Amino acid sequence: MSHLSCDEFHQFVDPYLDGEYDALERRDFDMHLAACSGCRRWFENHRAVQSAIKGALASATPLPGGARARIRTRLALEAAPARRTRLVKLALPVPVVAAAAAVFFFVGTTGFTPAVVEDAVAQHEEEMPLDVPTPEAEELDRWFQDRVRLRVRAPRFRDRSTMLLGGRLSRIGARGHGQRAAYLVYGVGRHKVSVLAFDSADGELEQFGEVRRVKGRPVSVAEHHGRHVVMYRQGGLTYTVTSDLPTQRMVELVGTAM
Amino acid sequence: MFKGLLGRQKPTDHVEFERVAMPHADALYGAALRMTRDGTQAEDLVQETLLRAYRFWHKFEQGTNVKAWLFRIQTNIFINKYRKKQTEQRFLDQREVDDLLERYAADDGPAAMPPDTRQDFLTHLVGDEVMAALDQLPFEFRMAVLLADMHDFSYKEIADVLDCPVGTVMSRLHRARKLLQAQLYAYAVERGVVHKPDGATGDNVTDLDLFRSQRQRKKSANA
Repeated sequence: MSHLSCDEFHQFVDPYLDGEYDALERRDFDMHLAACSGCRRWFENHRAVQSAIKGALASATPLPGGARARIRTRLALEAAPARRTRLVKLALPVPVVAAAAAVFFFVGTTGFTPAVVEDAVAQHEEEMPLDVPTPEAEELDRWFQDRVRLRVRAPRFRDRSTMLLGGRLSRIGARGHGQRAAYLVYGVGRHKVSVLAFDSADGELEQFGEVRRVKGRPVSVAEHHGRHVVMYRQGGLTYTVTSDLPTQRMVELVGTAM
Repeated sequence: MFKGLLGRQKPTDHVEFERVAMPHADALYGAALRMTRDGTQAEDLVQETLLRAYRFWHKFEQGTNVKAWLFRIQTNIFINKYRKKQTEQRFLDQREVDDLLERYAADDGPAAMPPDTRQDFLTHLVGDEVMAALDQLPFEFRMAVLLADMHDFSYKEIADVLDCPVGTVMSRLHRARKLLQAQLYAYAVERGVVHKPDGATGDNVTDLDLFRSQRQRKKSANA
């Protein structure tokens, strides 16, 4: 058994204080403390001062809300990069060919892409800062209600891998100069899902794309530039949901919010 | 030709990042404030840290210590980018460090206080005062205290964050705590919060006088 000298006790006291020693090592220190009143007094002071310092350091300032919001916005943009430029770099691998074929097919069957679908996909690809970067749907709803008197209800997707990232004020139609719209963005797993909500008349859904029924209600499904757009109506507003997820997955997702 | 595709790692799962990494934003900011000693720079540092963490999330080994991983990223960014900008800021220089440590060695600093003095001293150890003293410490010492005493990292974790051996963590922490204690004690004496051990009021007594009188006392005690 090794005995600690007072010098050693002082020099190696920190790991003892921090609980870094194993049982055997601790015992050397315990024994020294029991035997040496000088070190005992010193240690008591040292420990009291250290714990006061620790207590003082614990009064840390939290990250200010504004900074947190800025960081969330930045991360949301990172989560939602524009894909087009990156795809162009590829020498037409399979997905691009497939996407091109799909667009061609869509255009070929209906003859034109509705402006709303084009707009939804164009805005989906943009990297614009969010006005309200928040995961709280109620907060977002209030913001749109108070600021732009848009009775938007951010879709509550009941889906484990989905998270609201935030929203901003937007416009739809007339090349970005049309009526006011709420733009919302979600992270779904590693995919971005964007939503546009705007006032529109009833019965327009069939003009946007192929109509299906989810929970007994009509949704309309379209595709443009390799992005899928699902549209539905709720509370007098039209909602477009855009992403690169498979159509079926998106329809299911929309179903969880209806 | 697939460079564009392969060069980009698979995207980060935002929900997972929010759940696993974002809860540490406050701790990162608390540390960033002590690292940069500037609110705006601290916010920028945290943003850069989280952004880099987000981009390199695929490199994080799930199940390992995410807080230590984030702190390592933040420390590296700070060293590479922010530390250089800080030359105009005031630290203890080497001479002052030596001086404080020598004085500490001479009279054992606050650890040698009598009980009534100790209470006065401890009451005086409030947040701002301690933060200010911590801010004066040279970077390596400051980081050791910050990680061990502010964020409860183990020595092994600190070694990971600072990329140095555990033995180095131990000696830095030892010296850093001594320095911090000595400095806080010197402040307290200066402000009359604690009285000099020999019973004098401390009025018009410079640190050097205190230092000498304590040495003298020690010598006579040993004689």
